[in-house]
Amino acid sequence: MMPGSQGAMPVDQNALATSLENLSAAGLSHDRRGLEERLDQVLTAARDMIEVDGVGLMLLDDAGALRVAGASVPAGMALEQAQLRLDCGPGIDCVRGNETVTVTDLAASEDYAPVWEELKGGEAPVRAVVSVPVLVTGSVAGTLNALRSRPQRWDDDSVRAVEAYAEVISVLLRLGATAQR
Amino acid sequence: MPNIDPEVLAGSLRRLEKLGTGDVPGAVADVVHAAVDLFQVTGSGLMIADEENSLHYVAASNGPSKVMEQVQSHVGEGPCVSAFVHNRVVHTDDLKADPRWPRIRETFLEHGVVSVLGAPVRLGGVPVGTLDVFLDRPHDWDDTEAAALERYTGLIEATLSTALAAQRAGELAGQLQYALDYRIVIERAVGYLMARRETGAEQAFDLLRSTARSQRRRIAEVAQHLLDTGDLPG
Repeated sequence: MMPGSQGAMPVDQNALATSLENLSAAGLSHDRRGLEERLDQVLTAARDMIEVDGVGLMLLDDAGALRVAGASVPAGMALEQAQLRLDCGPGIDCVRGNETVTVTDLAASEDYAPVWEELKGGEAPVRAVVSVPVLVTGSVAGTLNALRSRPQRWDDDSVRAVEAYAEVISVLLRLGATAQR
Repeated sequence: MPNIDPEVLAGSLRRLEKLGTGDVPGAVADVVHAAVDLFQVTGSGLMIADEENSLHYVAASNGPSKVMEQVQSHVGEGPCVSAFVHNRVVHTDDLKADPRWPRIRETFLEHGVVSVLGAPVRLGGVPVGTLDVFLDRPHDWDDTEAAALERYTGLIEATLSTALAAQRAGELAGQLQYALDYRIVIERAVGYLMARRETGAEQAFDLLRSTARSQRRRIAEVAQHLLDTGDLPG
């Protein structure tokens, strides 16, 4: 349901129903493997429902270093690794500034020119990116990135949908950390 | 792909552990709040039932959510009460034109609650409460939205299970432990009465409750007696 536009949804509710089906209680509380699988399902659901070419998740480790937790396509993994290597990119800025960062076209971005230099020779390199912070009890725990292989202006609906999935990831991480204590 | 790197996840959890992830009821509130963004609704709320089948507010995303839960708890009717009692998704597309719950309608509308979708929340397969989402305007909830909300309750159930396992949830843990200990017995007794007396779930529960009151016993005790002996006590 979009505010102000009857019944027009930013996410496909059929796909949402299917993807949430397995986010059930079994195994989550006590089993790290269960948590991995559920994070995996959320990433897959986010990719399918926001209709992007890929998603990637980066998380801060216990030393405060950002690391790649998972990516749905090789081009996404290439983007995440390039960002970490260069210490530059929308995901890095998102975590540092605790804010959503959108890039319409990496190839035309002055800020992220070094990242594009690394990516441009690869297969179907990422062009458009939105990076949203994953917040756990108010602190940045990482960033969820949604990617497209063509230049794309990100509308508010798409950004809100990525943020909603980041919230679900946040809840799962919080549960995982709580269960571990 | 995607495959979550177990080492990276472990590092993240260690970090979050050190930071402290707050209290367990806070995690429950997070799941309820996340529903607002995911479903793009005006508000959401979670209620857990007590022995009297009265639903009590546990978490709500905003003021109107709290009010709608309080008024339903108070008068004992409303879309969430129906979702809980009948153990299925219940919706109202436009409360102004819906005659089913006259005692809550005015308060809901005054607070801008116009269309509501409520789904039962279960523990161990037994309904223990409801999750609801609402909009401040009429909306035709369709089957896919109902299915999506029902699936989302899976995440609520995971959170509640964790709350119980962690045993750090204070009052919430008490409510949930009660639900786990007694709801199954009450549910089975209601089902037994429904089959034997060919009556509805609400009437069957009312019979259990009135018997408990007249005998000054707990509803769960009356239910257990019924299941043990095949008859209501007294």
